[in-house]
Amino acid sequence: MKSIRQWRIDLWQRWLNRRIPPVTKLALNHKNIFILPSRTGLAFVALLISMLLTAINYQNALVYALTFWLLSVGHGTIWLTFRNLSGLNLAAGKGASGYLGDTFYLPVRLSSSKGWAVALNLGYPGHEFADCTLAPNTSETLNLAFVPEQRGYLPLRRLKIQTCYPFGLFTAWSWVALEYPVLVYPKPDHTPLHLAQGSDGEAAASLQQARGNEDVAGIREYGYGDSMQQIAWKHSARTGELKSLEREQDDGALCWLDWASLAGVDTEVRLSRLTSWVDQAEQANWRYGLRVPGVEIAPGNGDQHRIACLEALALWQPDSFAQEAL
Amino acid sequence: MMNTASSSSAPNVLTSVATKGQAQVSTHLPRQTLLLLVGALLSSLVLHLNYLPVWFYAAAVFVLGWRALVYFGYLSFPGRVAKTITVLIASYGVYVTAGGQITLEGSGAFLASAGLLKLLEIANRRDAVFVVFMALFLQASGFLFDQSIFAAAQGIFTMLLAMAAMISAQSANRSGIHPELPVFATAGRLMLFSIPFMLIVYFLFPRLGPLWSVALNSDSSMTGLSTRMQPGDISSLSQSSEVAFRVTFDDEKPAQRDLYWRVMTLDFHDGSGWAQSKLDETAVIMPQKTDAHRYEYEIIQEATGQQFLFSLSESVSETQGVEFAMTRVLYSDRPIYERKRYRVASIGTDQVVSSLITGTGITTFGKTSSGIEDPTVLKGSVETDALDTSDIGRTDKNSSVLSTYSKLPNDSNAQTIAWAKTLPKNTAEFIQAFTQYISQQAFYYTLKPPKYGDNDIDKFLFEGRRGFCEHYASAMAFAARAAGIPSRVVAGYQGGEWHTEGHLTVRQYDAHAWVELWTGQVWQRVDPTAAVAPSRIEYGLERAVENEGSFLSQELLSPHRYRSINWINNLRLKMDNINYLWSRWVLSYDEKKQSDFLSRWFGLDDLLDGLYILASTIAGLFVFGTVWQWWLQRPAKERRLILAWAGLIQQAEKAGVSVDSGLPPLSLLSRLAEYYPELSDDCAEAQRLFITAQYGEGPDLHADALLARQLKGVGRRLRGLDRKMRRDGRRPSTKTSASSDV
Amino acid sequence: MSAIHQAISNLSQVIVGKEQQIRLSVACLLADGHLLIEDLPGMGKTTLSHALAKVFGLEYRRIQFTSDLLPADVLGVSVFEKNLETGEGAFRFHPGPVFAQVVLADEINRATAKSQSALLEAMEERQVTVEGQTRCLPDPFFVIATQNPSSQAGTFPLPESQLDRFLMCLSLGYPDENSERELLEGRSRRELVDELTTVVGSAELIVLREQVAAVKASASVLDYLQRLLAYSRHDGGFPYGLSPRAGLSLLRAAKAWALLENRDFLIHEDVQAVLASVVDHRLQPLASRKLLEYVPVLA
Repeated sequence: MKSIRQWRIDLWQRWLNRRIPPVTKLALNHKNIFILPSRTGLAFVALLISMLLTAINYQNALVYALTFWLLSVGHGTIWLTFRNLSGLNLAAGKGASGYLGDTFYLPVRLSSSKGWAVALNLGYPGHEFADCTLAPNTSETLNLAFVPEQRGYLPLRRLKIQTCYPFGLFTAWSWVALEYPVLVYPKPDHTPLHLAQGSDGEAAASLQQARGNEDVAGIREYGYGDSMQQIAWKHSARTGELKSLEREQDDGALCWLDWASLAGVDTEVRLSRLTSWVDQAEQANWRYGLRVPGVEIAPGNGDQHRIACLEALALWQPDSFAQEAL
Repeated sequence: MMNTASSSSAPNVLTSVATKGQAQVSTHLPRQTLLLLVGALLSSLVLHLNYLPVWFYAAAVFVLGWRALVYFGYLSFPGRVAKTITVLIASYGVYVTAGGQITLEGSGAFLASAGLLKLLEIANRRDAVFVVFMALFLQASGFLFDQSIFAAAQGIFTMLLAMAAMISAQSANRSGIHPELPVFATAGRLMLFSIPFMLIVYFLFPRLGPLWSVALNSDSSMTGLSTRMQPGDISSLSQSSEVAFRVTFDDEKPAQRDLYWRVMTLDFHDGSGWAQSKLDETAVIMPQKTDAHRYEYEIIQEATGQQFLFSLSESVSETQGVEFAMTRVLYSDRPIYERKRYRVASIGTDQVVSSLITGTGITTFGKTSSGIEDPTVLKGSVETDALDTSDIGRTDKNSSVLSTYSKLPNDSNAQTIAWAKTLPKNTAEFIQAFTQYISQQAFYYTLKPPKYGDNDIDKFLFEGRRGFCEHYASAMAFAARAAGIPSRVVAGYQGGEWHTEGHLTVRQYDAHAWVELWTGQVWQRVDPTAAVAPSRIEYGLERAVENEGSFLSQELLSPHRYRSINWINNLRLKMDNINYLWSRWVLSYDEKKQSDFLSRWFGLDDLLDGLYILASTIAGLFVFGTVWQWWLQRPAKERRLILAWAGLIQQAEKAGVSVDSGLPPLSLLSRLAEYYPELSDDCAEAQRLFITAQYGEGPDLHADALLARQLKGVGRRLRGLDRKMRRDGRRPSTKTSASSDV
Repeated sequence: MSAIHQAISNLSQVIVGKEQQIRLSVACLLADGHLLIEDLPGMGKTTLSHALAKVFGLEYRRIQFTSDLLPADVLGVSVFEKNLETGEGAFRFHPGPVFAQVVLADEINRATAKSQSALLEAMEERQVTVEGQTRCLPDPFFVIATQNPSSQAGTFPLPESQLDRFLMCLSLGYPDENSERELLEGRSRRELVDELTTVVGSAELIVLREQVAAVKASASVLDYLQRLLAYSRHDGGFPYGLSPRAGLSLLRAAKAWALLENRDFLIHEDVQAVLASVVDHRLQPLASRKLLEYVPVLA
């Protein structure tokens, strides 16, 4: 059973989702800006009351005038505070994927239309807030800190954008949900590579091989797309036919990063270790493949390959494979 | 600041560190803000400068010096101990200054020191807000000491600075303030645009009486008559061109020489000077206004810190709070610390009756007794109709009253007494004899008389023979008593300056003293000064001391000194008139004036209606604000075309023409024509206009407008066609046309 | 019908059922840009380029890119030649195939980066520096590169920076049924190409290019173009945005398209017509579809 607090939060979130649906870009207007007096505003009211009492008790026309003028100015700042946010455009920029536990810096592009947007303060609740001031018709990109709590796609959280300008008597704010197609990889758990004893026998042993092997294993027919370094020039010159050198594992060692090799360890920890291994293997410039239940990625190398592996680890869900894996 | 609390939830150490760092950085106020804050605070102190004690200035210099050194980086902010000590010293100073009492000056000094000391610890936004509020409140309390136009202008300046400081404090973030942010312009515009609302509230807010009695300012800062007349008093007043009061006559205006403004009577000579009569503040019932009260006028007087009011002889007033004293002067039921407005009707003759006398058109009240002043009309006793005068002291018997006006100190001015005994006992003859003496002997009217010291009347009458009104009045009253005629000195003002607009300004240098002698029936006004310096009465002080050059000799810069220079005088009169209008229309806006104003201009008889209006104005302002907001964000001329375009897309979608997002205008029009052949001419025209609008000579808003109109027309016709088809039950086949894929 | 349309109709007799691609490639030629054709072998890439050269009366050379192709094979070499009669010897420059007006770089991704960039630099600079001597390329200089999207093994894919130098990237695709039938029934394409006559001379081509440059663009169209660029740069969906050069290319291509449509001014449709072929290879496949969908035409 949900607690009342949780229930209230849910209700609030649902209401917000209906009122300000999640988007990749948003223009702030009267539909999504909230405004209320701030604590300074209440103090201001107290000041006005004491001035009014002075005016009444001393029957002083100028004190009356000053009081009412301040009242009027304070009243006017409602509009200014509102206008400070109104017309502002927010758009999600290109966020970079990262590991769980890292601080993600999510770019938000703010652009103002006709007027100034002064002293905006925005960020994700519980994280560092950023400030910015925009001159008319300018834009700026702010990187908002966010620390996700679980791997997978970055959860949709609302950022708060608020302002007290011009006097701090009123706070205007909005909750904006910007969508970022960003992945949170599992948190790398640094353990030395532990290799599966693969059935095809190319696991541990192949790792022991030194990198940068220049040993020529043989000569073969020229294949379409062989690089120039691969061509056995001398041999080709002799025979008049293009031949290529066959080198042994010149891309480095080959290994399989296997879920099964981590039997008996908690699921998330397994994923964390595998994540760390992917990075280690990539750094060592090995060719590596990944096996997790339901997913098998053929050995490869390079940034694309690494990202594919990390993506698989980030998105892996235990549902259907739980039995098989454990 | 709000994120510091939440940082604990962030697991990352780096984040929390960063957050803390941010809290520190963001609280730092930019220099512009600091300057504005100091400016606003200093400006708000201007109206307080008159009464602040000397030590305050020393403290201010010290604090500002320290702040400046901090600003330029030579010193750091004071530590906790230093701050505590300064606060203690300042509190003690304020306590001593106020003499242990809660006075307005004391409170002002306290606020001022608090504000000043706060400057030493402005660090973050909240401190800035505190200082701004402080400055505003100091400005408001400054108005309690000065309500002139200058004060108002100065208040606007303070407010502008305070608003700018506030904006500047709020718009600062980690990177400081955007260099192009128009801080002053925003503050100014905001103030300007809020004036209408301010005026509405100002005029409609119900004016209430004081809710409770409040700390009052002592009268040190006010100039005016004092309740004791000693040689030199009026001479010091004559050096001041400050306005005492202004008068607006309804119809008839008295002649200049009849403008004797009675303020108080002085009936007790203690050997060195005259003291005010206690009867001046003994209330009796105000006589009824009769036809004989030919002069009706309104007086706006400056604060005096005293209760006395100004009126011509034999005056009545219906203004609330105005009391009628036994000596037939008007006085206020409470000391006047603010500008006061009241209406008076006067007979204005040179005789002041006693209530004993009937048949002069002045009604008397109560039982008559044989006394000159009628103790039975004491206000408090009327209701009970019982004669209870025990607390009135010496007024309970005629003899004591008469003796009050005849009493002389035994041991002074023997020569005068001896001389007076030779004068006639008949009042009229005495007057003649006395004035003859001073006009025949070599008496001079001068603002620089010698100091006479003891037996001053003797020395004045028989040796020095130089003096001004109070010497003459004092001498004459004294001599009259010596001669056996009851007398009193009347202090007040004589004359005034007429403005072309019709009102009269009476200034401190118009202060005057004359004598009233008892004729047996009435108090007869006698002005011995007129005998020696008739121009003083006819033309005022300046003419009277023309040859001496002593007029406002201490106010070198006063424009009054240069009244003979025409343009300066004109300018001065203009300024004076503005001041008059200011006090008449702005400062004296009270309950009465409010209801007059509202019923006259808005037909509002009930204040409740006013409140309704106030409420609806606030609502109306919201509506206005919304409309204004819409107006501000309305599309520019170039944007209208785009709106028309968007409208057409909407129409087209409603009418069943599939519109892909990103369908260019010309294609859309072609497609419309394809769906609705009836529209093909209109669409072709719109296409032609579109190309003309885009490729005509230069930016052609006219072509844009034509196009927008055409687009709207197409939309209208499209809607019409669509409706007709719906009515007829047929619709164009909603073919989803191929998107403009390439 | 103007000469240019005559040329297009002549071309479509050879390349059947690919009018859109033909128009785009002509637009590319008019816009003074280079063309990349990405397609499987046998789709008529070579025929198209050959026919283009023929119709526009341009000198045509073809380079088959292989992994052992050297820059000199593209640009040309200096050879020491001895005059047999006089006995004097001197180095003589033998210009490479790049010194033709239309160059077909077949399977460009087969060659090493070095050879690729030799060609690509020549494309950009319109001149060749061999052995310290700078030689200008002929004026109408039009490179048609082809690349085989499948069988990527052993290829050197063109990096993004190089792809940016191609104004357009087209793919011919399979012909539809009718065209296929026509193709099968008709005569050999090679014969048809040989029969093609020059419709637009190279001098006329230069005039046409001047006309393209003179096409007017209104503020509204430029706004749209800028919005397209801005969207590609700021939207999270693209790994990187369009370069200013891409913006210029888009404008040039659109202008050429407008000229093909017999207009001397741009309309939004022109931009949209060339958008896919100009943008997709620079951003990512189907990028143009997203742009078309999300970027408002008038705003």
